[in-house]
Amino acid sequence: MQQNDVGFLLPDTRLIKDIYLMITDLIDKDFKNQYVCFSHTQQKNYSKLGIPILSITESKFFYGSLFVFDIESLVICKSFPNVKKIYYYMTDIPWKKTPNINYFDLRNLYQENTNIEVITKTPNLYNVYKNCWNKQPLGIMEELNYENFKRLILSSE
Amino acid sequence: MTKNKIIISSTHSRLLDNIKICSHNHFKYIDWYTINIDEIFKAYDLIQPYKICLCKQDLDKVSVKTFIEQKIVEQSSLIIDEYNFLNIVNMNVFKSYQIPRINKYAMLLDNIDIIPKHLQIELESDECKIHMFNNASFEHAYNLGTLLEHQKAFIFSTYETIIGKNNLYKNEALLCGSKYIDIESIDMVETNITDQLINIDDFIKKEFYATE
Repeated sequence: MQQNDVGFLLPDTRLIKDIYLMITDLIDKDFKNQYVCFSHTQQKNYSKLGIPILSITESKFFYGSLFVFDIESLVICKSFPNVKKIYYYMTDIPWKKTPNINYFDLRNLYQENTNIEVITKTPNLYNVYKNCWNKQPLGIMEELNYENFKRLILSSE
Repeated sequence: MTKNKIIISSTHSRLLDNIKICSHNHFKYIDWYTINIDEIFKAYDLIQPYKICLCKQDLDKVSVKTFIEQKIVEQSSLIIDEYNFLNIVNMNVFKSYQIPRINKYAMLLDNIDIIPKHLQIELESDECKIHMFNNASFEHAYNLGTLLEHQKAFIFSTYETIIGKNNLYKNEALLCGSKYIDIESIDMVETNITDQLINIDDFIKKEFYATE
């Protein structure tokens, strides 16, 4: 694997603690890659962990792979010009909440965008995504941690 | 010029959507309007239409009831999209496109709010082959959003079988070369067109130009 910059667009969810722990491990154990977080709020609770945290506006100019955790972030960053690959960690079924959206808009996002790789939280979500969009997700990551990240992301880069 | 104008309601309707497409493609001198149906009085005063297209759901609205009861318009100038219009098909859009059929079942959810039990079991399976479309109020993992008319033709051309209710989209699906199943009787697979179909172009000519 070549050296790569990996960015994380931090969500406003309970996942944030797991994400920080995973990135701390990644920084400690994986010397090949560089890791950075993008957040739209001040992360005072986690500032002592030694993780670089930038404003979310900086993510637009980021070179490397981006890891996103919600559909809003995915929609925003899919048009970023310098992003090599986007990894979307799917914890629910986003299109279920928006049945009024046109099918072809959803299809462009989930099926036809080759730049996006989906990782699902559960086997059920894996099956739903595969059945709906005729496209295999990259894998299942039930827990966000270094081992799972290494198995799915670092091995595929 | 005002004689040719029509009002099209804001409610989604298969017939009205196809009139819009045809008006745009072939009948450039028909204007159509998508209005807030509650403002039907105001729109009528402003536009003075020759024909008013309403769909069945709109008839329950108080504004529309009053509009019709007060006999502001002649009954003959109303076109009401009901299910007996099923044999009026947009043959310019719904035809065989010879695209590979990579998907199994597409279920059009127009007017379907409850999924029958026999289909619910299939929808819960790990290898579900059904995709659902076109009901903006139905939240389900396999409801993949809404479709415009030409997008429906794409769906009917890339799915092997279309599932609908009360023969809605049956003729369109068969024209595109897919099979058709009614949601209530999934063992009855229809493959041949048995209705006498009318092209929507001819319908528009008859409704909008016959009296001129």
